Amino acid sequence: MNTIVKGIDQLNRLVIWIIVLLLGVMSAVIFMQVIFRYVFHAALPWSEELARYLMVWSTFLGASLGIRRRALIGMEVLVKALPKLATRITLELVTVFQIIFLAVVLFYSIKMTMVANSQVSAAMLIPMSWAYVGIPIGMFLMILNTIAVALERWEGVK
Amino acid sequence: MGTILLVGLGVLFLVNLPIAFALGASSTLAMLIQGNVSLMIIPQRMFAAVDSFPLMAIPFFVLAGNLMGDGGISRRLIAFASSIMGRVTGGLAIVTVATCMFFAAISGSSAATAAAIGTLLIPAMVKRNYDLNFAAATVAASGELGVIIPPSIPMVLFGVMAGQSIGTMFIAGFIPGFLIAGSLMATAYFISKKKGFVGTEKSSLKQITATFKDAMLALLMPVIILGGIYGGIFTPTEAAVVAVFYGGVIGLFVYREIKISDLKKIFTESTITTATIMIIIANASTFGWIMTREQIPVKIAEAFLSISGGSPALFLLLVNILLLFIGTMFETSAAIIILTPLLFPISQSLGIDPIHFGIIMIVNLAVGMVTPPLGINLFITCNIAKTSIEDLTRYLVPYLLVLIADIFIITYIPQITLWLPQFMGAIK
Repeated sequence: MNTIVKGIDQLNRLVIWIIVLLLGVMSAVIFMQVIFRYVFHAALPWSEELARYLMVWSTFLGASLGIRRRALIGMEVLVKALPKLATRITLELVTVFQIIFLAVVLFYSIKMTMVANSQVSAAMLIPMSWAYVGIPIGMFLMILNTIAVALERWEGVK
Repeated sequence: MGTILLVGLGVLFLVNLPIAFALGASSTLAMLIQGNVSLMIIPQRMFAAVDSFPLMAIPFFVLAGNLMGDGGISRRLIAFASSIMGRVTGGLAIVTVATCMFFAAISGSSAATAAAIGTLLIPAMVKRNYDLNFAAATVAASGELGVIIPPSIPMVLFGVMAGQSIGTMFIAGFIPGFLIAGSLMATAYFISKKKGFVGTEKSSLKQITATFKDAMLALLMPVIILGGIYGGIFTPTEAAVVAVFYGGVIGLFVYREIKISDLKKIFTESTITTATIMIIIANASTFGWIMTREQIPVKIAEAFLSISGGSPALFLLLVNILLLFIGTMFETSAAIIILTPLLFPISQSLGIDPIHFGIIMIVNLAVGMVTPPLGINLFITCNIAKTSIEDLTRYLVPYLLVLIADIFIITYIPQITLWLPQFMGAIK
Protein backbone atom coordinates (compact mmCIF):
# COMPACT_ATOMS: atom_id res chain seq x y z
CA MET A 1 0.00 0.00 0.00
CA ASN A 2 2.81 2.31 0.97
CA THR A 3 4.51 1.79 -2.38
CA ILE A 4 1.37 2.92 -4.19
CA VAL A 5 1.30 6.18 -2.22
CA LYS A 6 5.03 6.64 -2.85
CA GLY A 7 4.53 6.02 -6.55
CA ILE A 8 1.77 8.63 -6.73
CA ASP A 9 3.91 11.14 -4.85
CA GLN A 10 6.76 10.48 -7.28
CA LEU A 11 4.40 11.34 -10.11
CA ASN A 12 3.27 14.43 -8.19
CA ARG A 13 6.86 15.68 -8.08
CA LEU A 14 6.84 15.69 -11.87
CA VAL A 15 3.45 17.43 -11.90
CA ILE A 16 4.85 20.13 -9.59
CA TRP A 17 7.57 20.92 -12.14
CA ILE A 18 4.93 21.09 -14.87
CA ILE A 19 2.70 23.53 -12.98
CA VAL A 20 5.69 25.70 -12.06
CA LEU A 21 6.52 25.84 -15.75
CA LEU A 22 2.89 26.55 -16.73
CA LEU A 23 2.57 29.53 -14.37
CA GLY A 24 6.01 30.77 -15.40
CA VAL A 25 5.17 30.69 -19.11
CA MET A 26 1.73 32.21 -18.46
CA SER A 27 3.29 35.16 -16.61
CA ALA A 28 6.01 35.63 -19.20
CA VAL A 29 3.60 35.52 -22.15
CA ILE A 30 1.18 38.08 -20.73
CA PHE A 31 4.06 40.32 -19.63
CA MET A 32 5.36 40.14 -23.21
CA GLN A 33 1.90 41.08 -24.45
CA VAL A 34 2.04 44.29 -22.40
CA ILE A 35 5.60 45.07 -23.51
CA PHE A 36 4.83 44.47 -27.18
CA ARG A 37 1.79 46.68 -27.10
CA TYR A 38 3.43 49.61 -25.33
CA VAL A 39 7.02 49.41 -26.46
CA PHE A 40 6.78 47.99 -29.96
CA HIS A 41 3.17 49.08 -30.67
CA ALA A 42 2.46 45.61 -31.99
CA ALA A 43 -0.22 43.37 -30.53
CA LEU A 44 0.69 39.70 -30.19
CA PRO A 45 -2.10 37.66 -31.76
CA TRP A 46 -1.43 34.43 -29.88
CA SER A 47 -0.39 35.44 -26.36
CA GLU A 48 -3.80 35.62 -24.72
CA GLU A 49 -5.01 32.34 -26.18
CA LEU A 50 -1.85 30.49 -25.21
CA ALA A 51 -2.03 31.80 -21.64
CA ARG A 52 -5.70 30.84 -21.35
CA TYR A 53 -5.04 27.26 -22.42
CA LEU A 54 -2.10 27.03 -20.03
CA MET A 55 -4.40 28.21 -17.25
CA VAL A 56 -6.87 25.42 -18.07
CA TRP A 57 -4.05 22.91 -17.73
CA SER A 58 -2.75 24.44 -14.53
CA THR A 59 -6.25 24.45 -13.00
CA PHE A 60 -6.81 20.73 -13.44
CA LEU A 61 -3.24 19.64 -12.67
CA GLY A 62 -3.09 22.04 -9.70
CA ALA A 63 -6.37 20.72 -8.32
CA SER A 64 -4.92 17.20 -8.20
CA LEU A 65 -2.14 18.47 -5.93
CA GLY A 66 -4.79 20.38 -3.99
CA ILE A 67 -6.49 17.04 -3.27
CA ARG A 68 -3.21 15.50 -2.12
CA ARG A 69 -2.63 18.40 0.29
CA ARG A 70 -6.25 18.37 1.45
CA ALA A 71 -6.58 21.96 0.28
CA LEU A 72 -9.94 21.44 -1.44
CA ILE A 73 -12.24 22.44 1.36
CA GLY A 74 -15.61 21.05 2.31
CA MET A 75 -17.72 21.23 5.45
CA GLU A 76 -16.00 19.12 8.08
CA VAL A 77 -18.12 20.18 11.04
CA LEU A 78 -20.98 17.76 10.74
CA VAL A 79 -18.95 14.69 9.84
CA LYS A 80 -16.51 15.32 12.70
CA ALA A 81 -19.42 15.56 15.14
CA LEU A 82 -20.60 12.02 14.31
CA PRO A 83 -19.60 8.97 16.38
CA LYS A 84 -16.15 7.68 15.40
CA LEU A 85 -17.31 4.70 13.38
CA ALA A 86 -19.92 6.74 11.53
CA THR A 87 -17.27 9.35 10.66
CA ARG A 88 -15.06 6.63 9.17
CA ILE A 89 -17.84 5.05 7.16
CA THR A 90 -18.97 8.45 5.83
CA LEU A 91 -15.42 9.39 4.85
CA GLU A 92 -14.87 6.12 2.97
CA LEU A 93 -18.21 6.35 1.17
CA VAL A 94 -17.58 9.96 0.21
CA THR A 95 -14.16 8.97 -1.14
CA VAL A 96 -15.69 6.25 -3.30
CA PHE A 97 -18.34 8.69 -4.48
CA GLN A 98 -15.70 11.30 -5.36
CA ILE A 99 -13.73 8.73 -7.39
CA ILE A 100 -16.86 7.72 -9.31
CA PHE A 101 -17.66 11.37 -10.09
CA LEU A 102 -14.10 12.04 -11.28
CA ALA A 103 -14.18 8.86 -13.40
CA VAL A 104 -17.41 9.99 -15.09
CA VAL A 105 -15.85 13.35 -15.94
CA LEU A 106 -12.67 11.56 -17.06
CA PHE A 107 -14.66 9.41 -19.47
CA TYR A 108 -16.63 12.27 -20.99
CA SER A 109 -13.64 14.59 -21.16
CA ILE A 110 -11.74 11.96 -23.18
CA LYS A 111 -14.73 11.79 -25.50
CA MET A 112 -14.80 15.59 -25.81
CA THR A 113 -11.07 15.70 -26.51
CA MET A 114 -11.43 13.15 -29.30
CA VAL A 115 -14.31 15.05 -30.87
CA ALA A 116 -12.33 18.28 -30.66
CA ASN A 117 -9.39 16.81 -32.54
CA SER A 118 -10.78 18.11 -35.79
CA GLN A 119 -11.36 21.65 -34.45
CA VAL A 120 -8.67 24.32 -34.63
CA SER A 121 -8.11 27.18 -32.17
CA ALA A 122 -8.91 30.72 -33.28
CA ALA A 123 -5.53 32.39 -32.93
CA MET A 124 -2.76 29.80 -32.81
CA LEU A 125 -4.52 27.40 -35.22
CA ILE A 126 -3.56 24.40 -33.07
CA PRO A 127 -5.93 21.43 -32.60
CA MET A 128 -8.36 22.23 -29.77
CA SER A 129 -7.64 18.77 -28.34
CA TRP A 130 -4.26 20.07 -27.12
CA ALA A 131 -6.09 22.48 -24.85
CA TYR A 132 -8.90 20.07 -23.90
CA VAL A 133 -6.65 17.15 -22.99
CA GLY A 134 -5.56 18.99 -19.82
CA ILE A 135 -8.95 18.07 -18.33
CA PRO A 136 -8.73 14.24 -18.68
CA ILE A 137 -5.10 14.28 -17.53
CA GLY A 138 -6.11 16.37 -14.53
CA MET A 139 -9.07 14.09 -13.76
CA PHE A 140 -6.82 11.03 -13.88
CA LEU A 141 -4.33 12.66 -11.49
CA MET A 142 -7.20 13.72 -9.21
CA ILE A 143 -8.37 10.09 -9.00
CA LEU A 144 -4.83 8.92 -8.15
CA ASN A 145 -4.45 11.55 -5.45
CA THR A 146 -7.87 10.80 -3.96
CA ILE A 147 -6.68 7.19 -3.68
CA ALA A 148 -3.38 8.28 -2.13
CA VAL A 149 -5.17 10.32 0.53
CA ALA A 150 -7.54 7.42 1.28
CA LEU A 151 -4.69 4.90 1.55
CA GLU A 152 -2.82 7.20 3.88
CA ARG A 153 -5.90 7.51 6.08
CA TRP A 154 -6.15 3.71 6.19
CA GLU A 155 -2.53 3.33 7.21
CA GLY A 156 -3.13 5.89 9.93
CA VAL A 157 -6.06 3.93 11.34
CA LYS A 158 -4.21 0.60 11.47
CA MET B 1 -34.06 18.08 -12.16
CA GLY B 2 -33.97 21.21 -10.03
CA THR B 3 -34.92 19.38 -6.84
CA ILE B 4 -32.28 16.67 -7.31
CA LEU B 5 -29.74 19.38 -8.02
CA LEU B 6 -30.39 21.38 -4.86
CA VAL B 7 -31.03 18.47 -2.49
CA GLY B 8 -27.98 16.65 -3.89
CA LEU B 9 -25.84 19.71 -3.34
CA GLY B 10 -27.07 20.11 0.23
CA VAL B 11 -26.42 16.47 1.16
CA LEU B 12 -23.00 16.36 -0.50
CA PHE B 13 -21.96 19.58 1.28
CA LEU B 14 -22.92 18.15 4.64
CA VAL B 15 -20.96 14.90 4.21
CA ASN B 16 -17.75 16.86 3.59
CA LEU B 17 -17.31 16.36 -0.13
CA PRO B 18 -15.18 19.32 -1.31
CA ILE B 19 -17.40 22.22 -2.48
CA ALA B 20 -16.15 21.91 -6.06
CA PHE B 21 -17.08 18.24 -6.37
CA ALA B 22 -20.37 18.70 -4.51
CA LEU B 23 -21.38 21.20 -7.21
CA GLY B 24 -20.15 18.96 -10.04
CA ALA B 25 -21.53 15.70 -8.68
CA SER B 26 -24.99 17.07 -7.87
CA SER B 27 -25.18 18.44 -11.43
CA THR B 28 -24.09 15.08 -12.84
CA LEU B 29 -26.70 13.26 -10.74
CA ALA B 30 -29.44 15.63 -11.83
CA MET B 31 -28.50 15.11 -15.49
CA LEU B 32 -28.26 11.33 -15.14
CA ILE B 33 -31.55 10.87 -13.37
CA GLN B 34 -33.80 13.20 -15.29
CA GLY B 35 -32.08 14.96 -18.08
CA ASN B 36 -31.96 13.89 -21.66
CA VAL B 37 -28.72 15.80 -22.13
CA SER B 38 -25.31 14.38 -23.00
CA LEU B 39 -22.89 14.32 -20.07
CA MET B 40 -20.29 15.73 -22.46
CA ILE B 41 -21.78 19.06 -21.39
CA ILE B 42 -19.82 18.70 -18.12
CA PRO B 43 -16.25 18.88 -19.47
CA GLN B 44 -17.39 21.42 -22.07
CA ARG B 45 -18.77 23.75 -19.40
CA MET B 46 -15.70 23.18 -17.24
CA PHE B 47 -13.40 24.19 -20.07
CA ALA B 48 -15.45 27.22 -21.09
CA ALA B 49 -15.59 28.49 -17.50
CA VAL B 50 -11.85 28.33 -16.87
CA ASP B 51 -10.83 29.46 -20.37
CA SER B 52 -11.21 33.12 -19.38
CA PHE B 53 -8.76 36.00 -19.65
CA PRO B 54 -10.31 38.16 -16.87
CA LEU B 55 -10.08 35.21 -14.45
CA MET B 56 -6.36 34.99 -15.16
CA ALA B 57 -6.00 37.98 -12.83
CA ILE B 58 -6.48 35.48 -9.98
CA PRO B 59 -3.31 33.37 -10.41
CA PHE B 60 -1.30 36.52 -11.04
CA PHE B 61 -2.60 38.38 -7.98
CA VAL B 62 -2.04 35.29 -5.83
CA LEU B 63 1.50 34.92 -7.17
CA ALA B 64 2.27 38.62 -6.71
CA GLY B 65 0.96 38.47 -3.14
CA ASN B 66 3.10 35.42 -2.34
CA LEU B 67 6.20 36.99 -3.90
CA MET B 68 5.69 40.16 -1.85
CA GLY B 69 4.80 38.23 1.31
CA ASP B 70 7.86 35.99 1.19
CA GLY B 71 10.03 38.86 0.00
CA GLY B 72 10.06 40.67 3.34
CA ILE B 73 7.31 43.15 2.51
CA SER B 74 5.15 42.44 5.58
CA ARG B 75 7.98 43.27 7.98
CA ARG B 76 8.69 46.58 6.24
CA LEU B 77 5.03 47.56 6.16
CA ILE B 78 4.77 46.85 9.90
CA ALA B 79 7.89 48.94 10.61
CA PHE B 80 6.46 51.86 8.65
CA ALA B 81 3.01 51.66 10.26
CA SER B 82 4.63 51.39 13.72
CA SER B 83 6.75 54.47 13.20
CA ILE B 84 3.65 56.55 12.50
CA MET B 85 0.99 55.04 14.74
CA GLY B 86 2.86 52.93 17.27
CA ARG B 87 2.99 55.68 19.89
CA VAL B 88 -0.74 56.03 20.62
CA THR B 89 -2.69 53.93 23.12
CA GLY B 90 -3.18 50.45 21.70
CA GLY B 91 -0.46 51.33 19.20
CA LEU B 92 0.35 47.83 17.99
CA ALA B 93 -3.33 46.94 17.58
CA ILE B 94 -3.84 50.02 15.43
CA VAL B 95 -0.66 49.15 13.55
CA THR B 96 -2.18 45.71 12.88
CA VAL B 97 -5.20 47.26 11.22
CA ALA B 98 -3.04 49.68 9.23
CA THR B 99 -0.65 46.96 8.07
CA CYS B 100 -3.53 44.72 7.04
CA MET B 101 -4.78 47.67 5.00
CA PHE B 102 -1.44 48.08 3.23
CA PHE B 103 -1.06 44.35 2.76
CA ALA B 104 -4.62 44.11 1.41
CA ALA B 105 -3.58 46.50 -1.31
CA ILE B 106 -1.08 43.88 -2.47
CA SER B 107 -2.87 40.66 -1.71
CA GLY B 108 -6.37 39.78 -2.82
CA SER B 109 -7.41 37.44 -0.04
CA SER B 110 -8.40 37.71 3.60
CA ALA B 111 -6.86 34.46 4.74
CA ALA B 112 -3.47 35.37 3.24
CA THR B 113 -3.61 38.79 4.88
CA ALA B 114 -4.48 37.41 8.32
CA ALA B 115 -1.75 34.77 8.06
CA ALA B 116 0.99 37.11 6.83
CA ILE B 117 0.31 39.83 9.40
CA GLY B 118 -0.73 37.59 12.29
CA THR B 119 2.46 35.53 12.27
CA LEU B 120 4.51 38.68 12.89
CA LEU B 121 2.22 40.92 14.94
CA ILE B 122 0.55 38.52 17.39
CA PRO B 123 3.88 37.58 19.04
CA ALA B 124 4.95 41.25 18.97
CA MET B 125 1.76 42.32 20.78
CA VAL B 126 2.05 39.56 23.38
CA LYS B 127 5.63 40.67 24.06
CA ARG B 128 4.29 44.13 24.87
CA ASN B 129 1.78 42.74 27.37
CA TYR B 130 -1.26 42.86 25.14
CA ASP B 131 -3.77 40.14 25.91
CA LEU B 132 -3.15 37.22 23.53
CA ASN B 133 -6.82 36.89 22.65
CA PHE B 134 -7.17 40.60 21.99
CA ALA B 135 -4.19 40.40 19.63
CA ALA B 136 -5.65 37.43 17.79
CA ALA B 137 -9.12 39.01 17.57
CA THR B 138 -7.60 42.19 16.11
CA VAL B 139 -5.76 40.24 13.42
CA ALA B 140 -8.83 38.16 12.56
CA ALA B 141 -11.02 41.24 12.25
CA SER B 142 -8.56 43.29 10.20
CA GLY B 143 -7.75 40.35 7.93
CA GLU B 144 -11.10 40.86 6.22
CA LEU B 145 -9.78 44.07 4.70
CA GLY B 146 -7.89 41.75 2.34
CA VAL B 147 -10.92 41.25 0.09
CA ILE B 148 -12.38 44.75 0.46
CA ILE B 149 -9.38 46.90 -0.34
CA PRO B 150 -8.39 46.30 -3.97
CA PRO B 151 -7.02 44.24 -5.61
CA SER B 152 -9.45 41.59 -4.46
CA ILE B 153 -10.02 38.08 -5.79
CA PRO B 154 -13.74 38.05 -4.89
CA MET B 155 -14.12 41.33 -6.82
CA VAL B 156 -12.56 39.72 -9.91
CA LEU B 157 -14.98 36.81 -9.50
CA PHE B 158 -18.00 39.07 -9.03
CA GLY B 159 -17.00 41.13 -12.05
CA VAL B 160 -16.76 38.03 -14.23
CA MET B 161 -19.92 36.36 -12.93
CA ALA B 162 -22.09 39.51 -13.04
CA GLY B 163 -20.56 41.00 -16.18
CA GLN B 164 -19.34 44.14 -14.38
CA SER B 165 -16.08 46.03 -14.82
CA ILE B 166 -13.43 44.64 -12.47
CA GLY B 167 -11.64 47.99 -12.50
CA THR B 168 -14.79 49.78 -11.32
CA MET B 169 -15.28 47.16 -8.58
CA PHE B 170 -11.73 47.82 -7.39
CA ILE B 171 -12.21 51.55 -7.17
CA ALA B 172 -15.60 51.16 -5.46
CA GLY B 173 -13.95 49.12 -2.71
CA PHE B 174 -11.71 51.96 -1.56
CA ILE B 175 -13.97 54.09 0.63
CA PRO B 176 -15.79 51.10 2.20
CA GLY B 177 -12.32 49.68 2.94
CA PHE B 178 -11.20 52.90 4.62
CA LEU B 179 -14.45 53.12 6.56
CA ILE B 180 -13.98 49.60 7.91
CA ALA B 181 -10.28 50.15 8.66
CA GLY B 182 -11.07 53.43 10.46
CA SER B 183 -13.80 51.89 12.57
CA LEU B 184 -11.59 48.92 13.50
CA MET B 185 -8.79 51.29 14.55
CA ALA B 186 -11.20 53.26 16.73
CA THR B 187 -12.44 50.04 18.34
CA ALA B 188 -8.87 48.87 18.97
CA TYR B 189 -8.11 52.25 20.57
CA PHE B 190 -11.08 52.16 22.95
CA ILE B 191 -10.52 48.57 24.03
CA SER B 192 -6.83 49.27 24.61
CA LYS B 193 -7.61 52.38 26.62
CA LYS B 194 -9.97 50.42 28.86
CA LYS B 195 -7.57 47.52 29.31
CA GLY B 196 -4.45 49.66 29.60
CA PHE B 197 -2.56 48.40 26.54
CA VAL B 198 -0.08 51.20 25.93
CA GLY B 199 1.75 52.34 22.85
CA THR B 200 5.41 51.97 22.02
CA GLU B 201 7.91 54.79 22.41
CA LYS B 202 7.69 57.73 20.06
CA SER B 203 9.66 57.52 16.87
CA SER B 204 11.46 60.50 15.43
CA LEU B 205 10.72 62.04 12.07
CA LYS B 206 14.01 60.56 10.92
CA GLN B 207 12.81 57.06 11.77
CA ILE B 208 9.54 57.66 9.98
CA THR B 209 11.35 58.74 6.82
CA ALA B 210 13.74 55.79 7.07
CA THR B 211 10.96 53.19 7.44
CA PHE B 212 8.97 54.93 4.72
CA LYS B 213 11.90 54.69 2.32
CA ASP B 214 12.27 51.02 3.19
CA ALA B 215 8.57 50.32 2.61
CA MET B 216 8.15 52.68 -0.33
CA LEU B 217 8.65 50.06 -3.04
CA ALA B 218 5.90 47.98 -1.47
CA LEU B 219 3.57 50.96 -1.12
CA LEU B 220 4.16 51.82 -4.76
CA MET B 221 2.74 48.50 -5.96
CA PRO B 222 -0.96 49.38 -5.48
CA VAL B 223 -0.29 52.70 -7.20
CA ILE B 224 1.10 50.87 -10.23
CA ILE B 225 -1.72 48.31 -10.29
CA LEU B 226 -4.62 50.70 -9.79
CA GLY B 227 -3.09 53.59 -11.68
CA GLY B 228 -2.40 51.28 -14.60
CA ILE B 229 -5.97 50.01 -14.70
CA TYR B 230 -7.66 53.41 -14.38
CA GLY B 231 -5.19 55.10 -16.65
CA GLY B 232 -6.35 52.65 -19.31
CA ILE B 233 -2.82 51.27 -19.64
CA PHE B 234 -3.55 47.70 -18.61
CA THR B 235 -6.47 45.36 -18.20
CA PRO B 236 -6.78 44.05 -14.61
CA THR B 237 -5.14 40.78 -15.72
CA GLU B 238 -2.20 42.62 -17.27
CA ALA B 239 -1.89 44.83 -14.17
CA ALA B 240 -1.70 41.65 -12.10
CA VAL B 241 1.13 40.26 -14.22
CA VAL B 242 2.99 43.56 -13.95
CA ALA B 243 2.60 43.20 -10.16
CA VAL B 244 4.13 39.71 -10.44
CA PHE B 245 7.24 41.05 -12.16
CA TYR B 246 7.44 44.04 -9.85
CA GLY B 247 7.12 41.84 -6.76
CA GLY B 248 9.60 39.34 -8.16
CA VAL B 249 12.25 41.93 -8.98
CA ILE B 250 11.93 43.56 -5.54
CA GLY B 251 11.99 40.27 -3.65
CA LEU B 252 14.88 38.82 -5.64
CA PHE B 253 17.11 41.78 -6.37
CA VAL B 254 16.19 44.75 -4.15
CA TYR B 255 15.27 43.32 -0.74
CA ARG B 256 17.02 40.05 -1.64
CA GLU B 257 14.90 38.01 0.73
CA ILE B 258 13.87 35.37 -1.79
CA LYS B 259 16.28 33.21 -3.74
CA ILE B 260 15.78 31.80 -7.23
CA SER B 261 15.49 28.37 -5.57
CA ASP B 262 12.50 29.61 -3.52
CA LEU B 263 10.58 30.34 -6.71
CA LYS B 264 9.59 26.71 -7.25
CA LYS B 265 7.81 26.61 -3.88
CA ILE B 266 6.18 30.04 -4.40
CA PHE B 267 4.93 29.09 -7.88
CA THR B 268 3.63 25.72 -6.65
CA GLU B 269 1.76 27.23 -3.68
CA SER B 270 0.29 29.95 -5.89
CA THR B 271 -0.93 27.46 -8.51
CA ILE B 272 -2.53 25.21 -5.90
CA THR B 273 -4.26 28.15 -4.20
CA THR B 274 -5.56 29.31 -7.59
CA ALA B 275 -6.59 25.81 -8.65
CA THR B 276 -8.71 25.34 -5.50
CA ILE B 277 -10.73 28.42 -6.55
CA MET B 278 -10.76 27.69 -10.30
CA ILE B 279 -11.92 24.09 -9.84
CA ILE B 280 -14.95 25.46 -7.97
CA ILE B 281 -15.61 27.84 -10.89
CA ALA B 282 -15.31 24.94 -13.36
CA ASN B 283 -17.83 22.78 -11.48
CA ALA B 284 -20.13 25.68 -10.62
CA SER B 285 -20.44 26.29 -14.34
CA THR B 286 -22.24 23.00 -14.98
CA PHE B 287 -24.34 23.69 -11.91
CA GLY B 288 -25.23 27.16 -13.16
CA TRP B 289 -26.08 25.77 -16.58
CA ILE B 290 -28.71 23.43 -15.12
CA MET B 291 -30.05 26.15 -12.82
CA THR B 292 -30.59 28.47 -15.75
CA ARG B 293 -32.14 25.67 -17.79
CA GLU B 294 -34.57 24.91 -14.97
CA GLN B 295 -35.15 28.63 -14.38
CA ILE B 296 -34.24 28.22 -10.71
CA PRO B 297 -32.87 31.78 -10.35
CA VAL B 298 -36.20 33.12 -11.65
CA LYS B 299 -38.13 31.01 -9.13
CA ILE B 300 -35.89 32.08 -6.26
CA ALA B 301 -36.22 35.68 -7.40
CA GLU B 302 -40.00 35.40 -7.31
CA ALA B 303 -39.93 33.93 -3.82
CA PHE B 304 -37.54 36.64 -2.65
CA LEU B 305 -39.64 39.36 -4.23
CA SER B 306 -42.86 38.11 -2.68
CA ILE B 307 -41.22 38.00 0.77
CA SER B 308 -39.69 41.43 0.44
CA GLY B 309 -42.73 42.87 -1.31
CA GLY B 310 -40.57 44.43 -4.00
CA SER B 311 -38.82 46.70 -1.50
CA PRO B 312 -35.09 47.05 -2.25
CA ALA B 313 -34.37 47.92 1.42
CA LEU B 314 -36.04 44.77 2.71
CA PHE B 315 -34.38 42.67 0.00
CA LEU B 316 -30.97 44.01 1.01
CA LEU B 317 -31.71 43.24 4.65
CA LEU B 318 -32.52 39.63 3.70
CA VAL B 319 -29.33 39.52 1.64
CA ASN B 320 -27.34 40.87 4.60
CA ILE B 321 -28.65 38.14 6.89
CA LEU B 322 -28.27 35.36 4.31
CA LEU B 323 -24.72 36.31 3.33
CA LEU B 324 -23.55 36.80 6.90
CA PHE B 325 -24.76 33.29 7.62
CA ILE B 326 -23.30 31.79 4.42
CA GLY B 327 -20.05 33.68 4.98
CA THR B 328 -19.43 31.87 8.27
CA MET B 329 -19.52 28.53 6.44
CA PHE B 330 -18.00 29.15 3.03
CA GLU B 331 -14.89 30.85 1.83
CA THR B 332 -15.73 34.23 0.24
CA SER B 333 -14.70 33.15 -3.28
CA ALA B 334 -16.79 29.98 -3.21
CA ALA B 335 -19.81 31.89 -1.92
CA ILE B 336 -19.47 34.57 -4.63
CA ILE B 337 -19.26 31.91 -7.35
CA ILE B 338 -22.39 30.11 -6.12
CA LEU B 339 -24.54 33.06 -5.06
CA THR B 340 -23.88 35.77 -7.66
CA PRO B 341 -25.94 34.04 -10.39
CA LEU B 342 -28.81 33.67 -7.89
CA LEU B 343 -28.87 37.05 -6.18
CA PHE B 344 -27.56 39.43 -8.82
CA PRO B 345 -30.57 39.16 -11.19
CA ILE B 346 -32.95 39.93 -8.30
CA SER B 347 -30.94 43.00 -7.32
CA GLN B 348 -31.16 44.19 -10.91
CA SER B 349 -34.91 43.77 -11.13
CA LEU B 350 -35.14 45.92 -7.99
CA GLY B 351 -33.00 48.62 -9.55
CA ILE B 352 -30.03 48.31 -7.17
CA ASP B 353 -26.76 49.58 -8.62
CA PRO B 354 -24.75 46.53 -9.83
CA ILE B 355 -21.42 47.76 -8.43
CA HIS B 356 -22.98 48.68 -5.09
CA PHE B 357 -24.56 45.24 -4.90
CA GLY B 358 -21.20 43.57 -5.56
CA ILE B 359 -19.56 45.51 -2.76
CA ILE B 360 -22.45 44.65 -0.39
CA MET B 361 -21.99 40.95 -1.15
CA ILE B 362 -18.25 41.05 -0.59
CA VAL B 363 -18.40 43.10 2.63
CA ASN B 364 -21.04 40.76 4.06
CA LEU B 365 -19.16 37.58 3.20
CA ALA B 366 -15.92 39.05 4.54
CA VAL B 367 -17.54 39.71 7.91
CA GLY B 368 -18.89 36.15 7.82
CA MET B 369 -15.28 34.96 7.69
CA VAL B 370 -14.63 36.40 11.17
CA THR B 371 -17.95 35.32 12.70
CA PRO B 372 -17.85 32.41 15.19
CA PRO B 373 -18.14 29.50 15.27
CA LEU B 374 -17.06 28.72 11.69
CA GLY B 375 -15.33 31.79 10.20
CA ILE B 376 -12.17 30.83 8.32
CA ASN B 377 -10.12 33.81 9.51
CA LEU B 378 -10.77 32.70 13.08
CA PHE B 379 -9.28 29.28 12.45
CA ILE B 380 -6.20 30.79 10.88
CA THR B 381 -5.54 33.30 13.65
CA CYS B 382 -6.34 30.80 16.42
CA ASN B 383 -3.84 28.49 14.83
CA ILE B 384 -1.14 31.16 14.79
CA ALA B 385 -1.92 32.41 18.31
CA LYS B 386 -2.42 28.89 19.73
CA THR B 387 -5.70 29.89 21.32
CA SER B 388 -9.27 28.68 21.01
CA ILE B 389 -12.18 30.34 19.26
CA GLU B 390 -14.11 30.41 22.57
CA ASP B 391 -11.36 32.43 24.29
CA LEU B 392 -10.95 34.75 21.35
CA THR B 393 -14.66 35.48 21.04
CA ARG B 394 -14.81 37.73 24.11
CA TYR B 395 -12.52 40.24 22.43
CA LEU B 396 -14.02 39.67 19.04
CA VAL B 397 -17.55 40.75 19.97
CA PRO B 398 -16.91 44.54 19.94
CA TYR B 399 -15.14 44.23 16.57
CA LEU B 400 -18.02 42.19 15.18
CA LEU B 401 -20.62 44.70 16.33
CA VAL B 402 -18.66 47.49 14.66
CA LEU B 403 -18.28 45.45 11.46
CA ILE B 404 -22.01 44.74 11.36
CA ALA B 405 -22.70 48.45 11.81
CA ASP B 406 -20.31 49.05 8.87
CA ILE B 407 -22.29 46.56 6.77
CA PHE B 408 -25.47 48.51 7.37
CA ILE B 409 -23.82 51.85 6.64
CA ILE B 410 -22.35 50.51 3.38
CA THR B 411 -25.63 48.80 2.40
CA TYR B 412 -27.96 51.71 3.03
CA ILE B 413 -25.76 54.64 2.02
CA PRO B 414 -24.88 53.74 -1.60
CA GLN B 415 -22.86 56.94 -1.97
CA ILE B 416 -20.08 55.51 0.21
CA THR B 417 -19.47 52.93 -2.48
CA LEU B 418 -20.47 54.87 -5.56
CA TRP B 419 -19.07 58.35 -4.94
CA LEU B 420 -15.47 57.55 -5.89
CA PRO B 421 -16.23 55.63 -9.12
CA GLN B 422 -18.64 58.41 -10.11
CA PHE B 423 -16.09 61.07 -9.26
CA MET B 424 -13.50 59.29 -11.40
CA GLY B 425 -15.98 58.87 -14.21
CA ALA B 426 -15.95 55.07 -14.04
CA ILE B 427 -19.74 55.00 -13.75
CA LYS B 428 -22.40 57.60 -14.44
